Amino acid sequence: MTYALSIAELCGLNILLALSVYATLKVGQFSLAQVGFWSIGAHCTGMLTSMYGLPLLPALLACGVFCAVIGVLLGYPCLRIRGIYLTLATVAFSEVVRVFFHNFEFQVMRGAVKVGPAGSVGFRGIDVLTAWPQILTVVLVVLCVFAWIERSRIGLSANAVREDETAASCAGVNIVAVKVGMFAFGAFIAGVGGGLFATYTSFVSSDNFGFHLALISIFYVAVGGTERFYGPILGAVLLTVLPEALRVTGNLRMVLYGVIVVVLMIMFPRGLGDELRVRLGALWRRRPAVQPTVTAGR
Amino acid sequence: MAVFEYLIGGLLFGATYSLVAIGFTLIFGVLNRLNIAHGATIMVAAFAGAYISLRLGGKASYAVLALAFVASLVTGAVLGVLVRAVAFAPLRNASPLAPFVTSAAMTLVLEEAFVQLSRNVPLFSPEFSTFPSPLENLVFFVGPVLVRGVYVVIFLVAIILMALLHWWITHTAMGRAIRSVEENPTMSWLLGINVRHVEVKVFAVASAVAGAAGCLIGVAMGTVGPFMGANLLLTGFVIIVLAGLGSVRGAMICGLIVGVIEMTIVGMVSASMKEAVLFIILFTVLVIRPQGLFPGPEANRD
Amino acid sequence: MLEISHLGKSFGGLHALSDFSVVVRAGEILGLIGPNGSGKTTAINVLTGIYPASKGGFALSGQDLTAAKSEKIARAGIARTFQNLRLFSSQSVLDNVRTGQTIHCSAPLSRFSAFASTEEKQLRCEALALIERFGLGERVDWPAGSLSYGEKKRLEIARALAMRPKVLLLDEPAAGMNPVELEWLMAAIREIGQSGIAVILVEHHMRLIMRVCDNLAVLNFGVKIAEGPPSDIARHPEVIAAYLGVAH
Repeated sequence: MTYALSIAELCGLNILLALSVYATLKVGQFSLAQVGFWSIGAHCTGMLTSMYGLPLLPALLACGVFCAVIGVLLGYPCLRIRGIYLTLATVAFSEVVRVFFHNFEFQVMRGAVKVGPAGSVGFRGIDVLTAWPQILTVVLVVLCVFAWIERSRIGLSANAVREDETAASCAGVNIVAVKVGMFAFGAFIAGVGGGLFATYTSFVSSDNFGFHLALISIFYVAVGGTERFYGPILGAVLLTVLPEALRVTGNLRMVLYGVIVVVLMIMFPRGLGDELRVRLGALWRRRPAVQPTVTAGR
Repeated sequence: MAVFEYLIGGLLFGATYSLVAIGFTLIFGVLNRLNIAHGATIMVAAFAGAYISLRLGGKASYAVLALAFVASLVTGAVLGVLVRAVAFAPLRNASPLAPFVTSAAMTLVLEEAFVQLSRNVPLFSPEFSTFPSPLENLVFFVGPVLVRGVYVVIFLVAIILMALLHWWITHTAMGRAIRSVEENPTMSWLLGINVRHVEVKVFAVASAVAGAAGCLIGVAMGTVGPFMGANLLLTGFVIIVLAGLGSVRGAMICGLIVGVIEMTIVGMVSASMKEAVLFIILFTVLVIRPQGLFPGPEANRD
Repeated sequence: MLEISHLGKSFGGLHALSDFSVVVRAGEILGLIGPNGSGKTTAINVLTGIYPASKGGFALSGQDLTAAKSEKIARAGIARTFQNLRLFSSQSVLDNVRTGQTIHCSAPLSRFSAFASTEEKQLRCEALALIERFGLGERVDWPAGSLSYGEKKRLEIARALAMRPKVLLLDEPAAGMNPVELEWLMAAIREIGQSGIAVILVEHHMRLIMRVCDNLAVLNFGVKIAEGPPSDIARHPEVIAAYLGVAH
């Protein structure tokens, strides 16, 4: 029972990571910066709670807002950067964050023990303040926000920006506000998620928040679906449970994980959630799906 | 004095970075997609070379070294074609996200596979396997500056490869086909160029070059490891953006530049500072001049 | 009233548009014609903020919009359609039209369905009315990418009208339309003019131009070579030379 519960808790955390990536994908920005914000959130929450005794909620909110502000500062120069260039710029950000915390040492005495980030060794001894109630609450709140966004003007504007920025802008959509806003929102979610992660596992090391984790966060969203908010949730849950389910295969566990991800992407290029929605929807309402365009070399 | 050693060493070693970046940027040029598995291809090819060297007593024989080099080239090419067939070909009509994910997943598969291989194959060892070569201890002096012989050798090999590649792209029919596909794949297809054929060739050549880089780097460092590709991939990102995505000539030059920057900072400050500097350069270039230092003509892509 | 004064746009050494001046009043339909490459679409792109003007400027009812971004121009009341159709393909027809209403929505966080505000409900009615008027009533929920070509062109105009513009810039709306659709388009453009909106119509289709426009402006190599009512322009020697060449 505790095993299943800890898997569920991990799912919850990964859902937050996935949704933070999804927030930027909604405006067409394929961003790998969320891992950097996750790291900032983890370290800052760890410091605020374990070194300065702040309760969890204010610490999480402070970190979330801090990350959102950095997100705005990052989002502005990235406004003109599109597509794969944006992805690379965000990789650069996450790597700089990783290097920063790799070298960051700042400890205070709490009682008889030194607590704080210790550079390459990592940040040990973070107070454990998070279990499934906290994770579930945050996940539900974030889900509500996304559900609201999806059926509101913001969602409409975000979709327009994602499809065609020029046309959206000529139709009166405020591109800057939408892009920077969603970027900051994604940063906020990642910051809070990272904070929950730190206070759940009690140990964070910046080397765990690098390019590999960034790729995994993309897996969640790509495998689950990028069009609706339940896509990343599906992807995160599936890809959190999968490595556990594969434990029976022993040492080849992660190899099989990668193979399964490849197979899933080839079978469902738009993501499981979207493929199911489109195929079931077309069947149910007999409405045509959009035709793919012709490209060379078929 | 030490500065000169870093400059020269960086320039020489940077040639391998150029090779890494060339392969990476060639694939991007033709497909407009980044091959995340490029780093893993380098790693696997390096392991292939190391295996040959370990098995056939490469420590003392140049012939075995040459054989290891060829093995790396071939492994790279084969793996490249495989990566294309699995990660890119089935997803040509999907959004760029899909092949990004499949090539990243393949990287995961290969890295984990080689972690297991390193543990279970007696010739290799879990953290870093050695890549013995007769060049290991070769040094000579240019005036008061110490230069590692192995760096000179890899520099020469890399330059020869780049020259061959440049000739191939600019003077052969296949090279022309590649350049036309880079600019407008649909138009090329309509004009009778077998785009799939071109893609396969490009992947094979780009990955073979990557394999060569893997072998040269393995020889220069004396070791190979399952995660050596990951760092090279990130360095590759920096180089191709600095050069301008798709520019082969730019990749050649910027590889050397990055090699110099890297070696100088590692020598004079620290290893992790080098990473920070490189990525700050990457970000700055993307904000200020995203087309890079050697921008190509505006391609009319799908 | 849209005042364009000495508008110029150069790309490096290429002067796509030079010294273009014209005034379009409310309810007037101005046809902008000229051979391919004469600068017509460039003019539209400058007027909607996609390219910054190199020289000169333009103002709507006295408000100078020369250096403004596209959103600000949209808010001021200039809407457009695109020569190459830029719809939001995976969004439904209704959502495409709704996006045009963004500037009229005072609460950016408003929801569409449950908890919808009165303003949203009203905007929805307006959007549905526009969709019906443009003959897309059966396709309300369809993704825009699955519409036929003529339907897509109509949807773009509907989306532009959802912005409640004072000026409508139509970039080759008749391209690819069959005769039935053309008749409909002519009637629609006249109706738009009658409702008080100033229309600039970039077109190659001469019959449409002659029958719908109150005035024509002719561009050639970025320069305006003639302006006046359609009957005059049809006989103008320079215009004929530009389109048909000079007899030797």
